[in-house]
Amino acid sequence: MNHGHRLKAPISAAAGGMGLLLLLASPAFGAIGTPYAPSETTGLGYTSEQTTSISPGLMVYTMTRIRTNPITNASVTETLRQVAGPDGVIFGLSWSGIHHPRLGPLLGNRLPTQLPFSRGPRILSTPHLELRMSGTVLHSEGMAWDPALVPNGISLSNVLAIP
Amino acid sequence: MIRRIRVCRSSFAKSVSGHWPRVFLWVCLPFALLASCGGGSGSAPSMSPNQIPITMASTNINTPVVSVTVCIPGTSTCQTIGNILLDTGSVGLRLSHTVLSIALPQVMDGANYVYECMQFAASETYGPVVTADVRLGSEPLMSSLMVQVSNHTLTSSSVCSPSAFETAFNGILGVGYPFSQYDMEYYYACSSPTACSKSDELSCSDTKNPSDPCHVSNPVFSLPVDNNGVEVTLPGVGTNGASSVTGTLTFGLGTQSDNSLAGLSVYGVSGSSACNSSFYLDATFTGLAASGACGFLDSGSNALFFGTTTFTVCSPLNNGWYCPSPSPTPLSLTLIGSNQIQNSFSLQVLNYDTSIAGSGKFAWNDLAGPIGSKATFDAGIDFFFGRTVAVGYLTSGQSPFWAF
Repeated sequence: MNHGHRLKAPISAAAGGMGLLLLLASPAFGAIGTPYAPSETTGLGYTSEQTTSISPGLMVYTMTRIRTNPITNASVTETLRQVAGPDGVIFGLSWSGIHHPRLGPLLGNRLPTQLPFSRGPRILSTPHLELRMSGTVLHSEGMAWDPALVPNGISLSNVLAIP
Repeated sequence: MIRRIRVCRSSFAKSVSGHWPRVFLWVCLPFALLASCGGGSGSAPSMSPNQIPITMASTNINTPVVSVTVCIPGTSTCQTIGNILLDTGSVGLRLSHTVLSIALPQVMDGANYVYECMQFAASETYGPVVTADVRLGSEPLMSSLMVQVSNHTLTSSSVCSPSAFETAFNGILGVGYPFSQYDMEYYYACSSPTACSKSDELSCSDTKNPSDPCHVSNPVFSLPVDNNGVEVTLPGVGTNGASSVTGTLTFGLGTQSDNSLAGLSVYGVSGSSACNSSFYLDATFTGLAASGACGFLDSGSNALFFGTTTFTVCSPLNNGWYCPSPSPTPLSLTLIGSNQIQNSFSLQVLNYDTSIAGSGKFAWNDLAGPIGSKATFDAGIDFFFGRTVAVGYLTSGQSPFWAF
């Protein structure tokens, strides 16, 4: 009896697994509060990466992955955007696509373990995590940032906006 | 990692050519007519065999709930569980591990156990996939359906960030969006629930394969006759809310004398436009400084959610709600189907802090809050009060649609 196909683990998954072991003590690189690390987002299935610098001294890492709309079979490009400050540390991220990315690793241990169930958009405010997310079963969009890490004088909605 | 999931490709390709549902000319039941007149109701309407009552939970605001019976497959060991959220915004039956008292067998993938991470708009549920015989009201028992048991204590943080819903309701009955029988979410085959990692993800390549373990499903699809959609009928609640509300969830569309679409406008969703690619409806809304272009109906959302800069968000403790002045503030919502059917609806928003908080009432048609970065209109349960909303499923002979 065919119970579905187990996907082969990509090569990068090994590195991701090691990162998860480290997660217990400190966030993996590529999370909010750490420098950008392509291996982490590759482990999440993002294959395309674009790096741009924007004023004032920010680095924007844009990653995409292709998903299939399960009803129309159309290809959907999911985007993950991470933004680092002049110190190279990621302070915020945003996403758009069918699904949201696995937020636990990307938020660097900032997601509360007792996250209330939200019946609508989520607005979460903690000292080290602001999270906004909304959508439906076939669409998710949102943004997250650590207010303590956001450089002075920037517009979050501008730098986290996905074009 | 790309999950290749195909759902009804052939039927969809056929349906986009335009098999709109026939609008049967049967006369609506008197209850449906009464319900549309509004005014609030605490009295229980009589139920046909294809109907079950909808009530509002008395512990959380705007929470429509129903009862479902689950049984250990092939046995008479059953449990009826009430206070299950009726959700036209998701697919599948989910039960909290805290209320389940019978031992439903877990689905296996070879020697491994199957777990699921279900992504809702802004929450996730995690837990084992089990099989159960399921009964909805007086409809025939459905054999061996896959159900998720939500247990957020089974933390598997690398694959899921689950929330607990049992403080508000005992389960979720997803009967709607996006008109698919199966939920198409993340499934894992693992030796234990906390051992799941990304490499354990199952590729649910063919959701029509009955042996596929990725089949947490909308039970309505498995009914023998009344399986092509549902109607949600709720009485109006008035501007100042209602303490209790009783409505009706009707199974099937045009299959019985009580589930005609007569009198309802049918809004197609084809997946072809920008909004429709996510199976939204096109939408415009006025009366506020917003420029949204997409909307959706979701009985599981507990308010109207939209983006605007003209409405004040409430105090920090209630920053999920709007507090407009004056209260109520009117707004107009226009919803447009892919078949170009459109209608406008007059809605209003109350100031949560001054008019709703602490009122002791649990049903409101004028509670609203902000949504994220883009102006999409989430027409939550508020929109359902005082009308019948039908969800038409994508089947081999029917294009998906909303009707209201």
